[in-house]
Amino acid sequence: MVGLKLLKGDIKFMEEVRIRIELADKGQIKIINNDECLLEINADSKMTINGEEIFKTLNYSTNKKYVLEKLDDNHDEALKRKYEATQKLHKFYEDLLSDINKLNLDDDLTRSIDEFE
Amino acid sequence: MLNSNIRVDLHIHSRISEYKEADGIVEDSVFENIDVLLTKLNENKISLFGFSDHNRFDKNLFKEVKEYIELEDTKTKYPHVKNLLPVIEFDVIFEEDKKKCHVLAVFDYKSDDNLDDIERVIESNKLTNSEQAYERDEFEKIIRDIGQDVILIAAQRKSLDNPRGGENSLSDSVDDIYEFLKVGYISTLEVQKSAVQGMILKNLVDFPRQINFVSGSDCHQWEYYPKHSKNENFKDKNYYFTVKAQPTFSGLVMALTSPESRFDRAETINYPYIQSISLNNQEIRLSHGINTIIGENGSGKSTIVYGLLEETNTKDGKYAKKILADNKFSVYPSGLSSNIFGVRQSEIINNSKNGFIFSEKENYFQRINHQNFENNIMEYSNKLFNNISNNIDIETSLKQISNLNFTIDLDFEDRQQYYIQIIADRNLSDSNIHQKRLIEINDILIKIIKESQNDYYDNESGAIWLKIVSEVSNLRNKIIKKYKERKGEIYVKNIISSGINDYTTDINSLIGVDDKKTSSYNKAKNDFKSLILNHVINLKTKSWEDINFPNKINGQSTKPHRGYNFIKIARYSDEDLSELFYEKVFKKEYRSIEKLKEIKDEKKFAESILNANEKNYEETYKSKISTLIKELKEEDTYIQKAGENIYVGSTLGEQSLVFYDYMVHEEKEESIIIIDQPEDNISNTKILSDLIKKFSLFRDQKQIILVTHNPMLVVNLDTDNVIYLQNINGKLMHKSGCLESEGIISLVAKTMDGGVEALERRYKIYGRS
Repeated sequence: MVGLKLLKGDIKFMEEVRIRIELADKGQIKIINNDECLLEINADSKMTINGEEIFKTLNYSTNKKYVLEKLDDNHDEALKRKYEATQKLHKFYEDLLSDINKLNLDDDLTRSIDEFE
Repeated sequence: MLNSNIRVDLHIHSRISEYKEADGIVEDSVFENIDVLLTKLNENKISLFGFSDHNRFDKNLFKEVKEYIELEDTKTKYPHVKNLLPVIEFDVIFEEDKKKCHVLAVFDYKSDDNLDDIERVIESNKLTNSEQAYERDEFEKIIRDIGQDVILIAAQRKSLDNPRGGENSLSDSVDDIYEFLKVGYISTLEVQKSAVQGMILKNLVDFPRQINFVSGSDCHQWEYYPKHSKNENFKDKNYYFTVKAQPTFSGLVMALTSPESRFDRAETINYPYIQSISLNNQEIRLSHGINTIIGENGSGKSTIVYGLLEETNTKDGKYAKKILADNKFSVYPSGLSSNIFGVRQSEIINNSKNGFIFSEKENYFQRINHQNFENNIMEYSNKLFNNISNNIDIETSLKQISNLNFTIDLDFEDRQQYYIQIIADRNLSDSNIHQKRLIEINDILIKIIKESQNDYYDNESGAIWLKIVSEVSNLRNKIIKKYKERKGEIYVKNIISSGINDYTTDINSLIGVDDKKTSSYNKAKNDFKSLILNHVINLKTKSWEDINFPNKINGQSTKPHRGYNFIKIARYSDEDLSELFYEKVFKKEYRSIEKLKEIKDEKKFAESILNANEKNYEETYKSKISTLIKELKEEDTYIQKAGENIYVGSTLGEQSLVFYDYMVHEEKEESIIIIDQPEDNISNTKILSDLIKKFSLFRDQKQIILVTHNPMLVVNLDTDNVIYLQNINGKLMHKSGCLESEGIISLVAKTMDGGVEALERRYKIYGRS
């Protein structure tokens, strides 16, 4: 099984992508990918998001592990409605990333090889 | 026709030599004792002989003996003895201050007038003293005055560079013996001892033409033939020479001008051959050696070939069959057809036009295995096609999400519903992400199993292969497990999804307006997410797979056989095909991976492929690939002389020569070879330098029957038998014989283009006829 061992050595651990949703002081909702803000949305209780833009905030490439950081609940009472909207966006991301992670794990052949050994 | 060798002794003395033989040894060598000589000659199987007296000619003796041996009784009594020729042994001093030399002058005998001329000239130039000799001028004048065709044979009793001993030898008589031989002044040398022959051959190693020596008994005392006389120490003396010729002057000329085909011929043959054919109840005997059939166009030459080859199925064959039947054609002995190898130059030419001179049934070449090439090109082209299709899918899903907006609305987010909304997961429809890997590992496993079964591997390697197969199978099972799980999941989800749809339909009819709004909001959100996921799946499963154009593949086979390499080369062999591949499939502006990567929709894809439209581009692509593979699999065949890196030329002539060369070297079982017009497309120079040599190699090995228009083949090949055919109003007439037979030479000269030139070339040194 020499060949497979080498193969295993070559496989990198999946890169972690950290996504954070933030409600900024001035009320903008920011989507931050590994410390880089990829989308800023001005929103109130109604918030329109574009599919491609959301996709881009993932900075997607195959075999990454997405981690959604906890939503910070320190917020001004005045921004309550916005915070609630942010929570909904957070929930949306949570579902989306969970599905993507599931796909990634499914596709990960390293597990097969681990099991195999 | 020539079918057997004859023994010749042209050096026998009679009493007329007595002026030089004082000891009386020729006393009894007179006509009265001719039976003594003939008995000895017959015992020794001498067919052609000559009285060769010293500077004398006994016309009466010659005439008497000639008449005597032609009597039927004599012929019965001495069956081996066939003919005699007038010969004189001259003493000649060729150069001043040199010793004299013995020269045998052999004359033709056509009528008694010839004899009178010889006697008259000799008598008027008679030497009286036994020590006397003719000077060169005198000698040449005598020959000229006799005015007949003559063959001059000089005595040589020692090696050419030995100044001592060996009396009366040419080498003591002239400064430059090579010159005498080269111009043909002297036809050959008479050498009696084998050892001396060997030494002279060594002296003549660089001589430009083959010389075969003759021998004679120099018998003076007939009673003791083949001894010189009673007291000679006979040991090791060659007293005759053997040639395949008619026992005539012409036969002798032929033998001396074609020593390679007339001397040293096999005494017996041990292969079956066609002994005769018959036309209109007339027998035409064939030689077991080389036979040529000549005649004008339409004289029936090729018809005879059809008959000999028993080819009567083709259109021409059927026509020939009729003519042959009309002319009562038959072959003796019959039943030799399996011993016949027949070839027509026209067939070679046709085969050559189709790529190779040998007919297909002849398995000269080794098959090339194109599987690797085909697999590689198919794999590459499939992957390329998939890559582009995948790019299009990815672009399509990207476009979908870029046009898609969703508004998160808190009013709906928190709204309570009076029923449970279940939303079908539309991502997990039919995409099984394990499928691709499963296909790949299946391919790998098939390849491994196939290779492991190759006979090449021994038991030890076989065991290693078994392990590999088993491990890869295990890995495949893991993937199958996942694939099945996913398949099951999709299956179940599909059922659930269908149930959900039914449920949703049912619920929709029951719920109020607000609930409907909430429900459709939730569905829209889920669809929004699903489309993003769908794009992710596309990216995961349909990303551009790096592909490299297949490496150069060797598509060549070489089969060495009998001094030639028979080589097949497929067009793709060792060629970098990437440029050609793109050229044959894609339009100019798309002929690179980079350009193809830029294709993002079907319209562009269709546009990139030559002669394709949006409806048929996939089909067109595939058909172009298979055409390309077919074209590249085409094979060229070459023949290479082993050890030489040059391919045999492509002209028909050159290829034909290879055919014949190969035929010569191939141990064909057939003992009879029939060739129809081998000279077509071969230049006269090549006929002289190559073809004749090749056919000569068959001499005494096989019976050859050639149909030819080329006089050089007839004359220079020195064929043993010439059959001249004529077609007179459908009746096939013939005349046949060997080259020296009466009338045959003139037929060759008359009926064949260039016949006269071919003969002149050969006879230029032999008198005027």
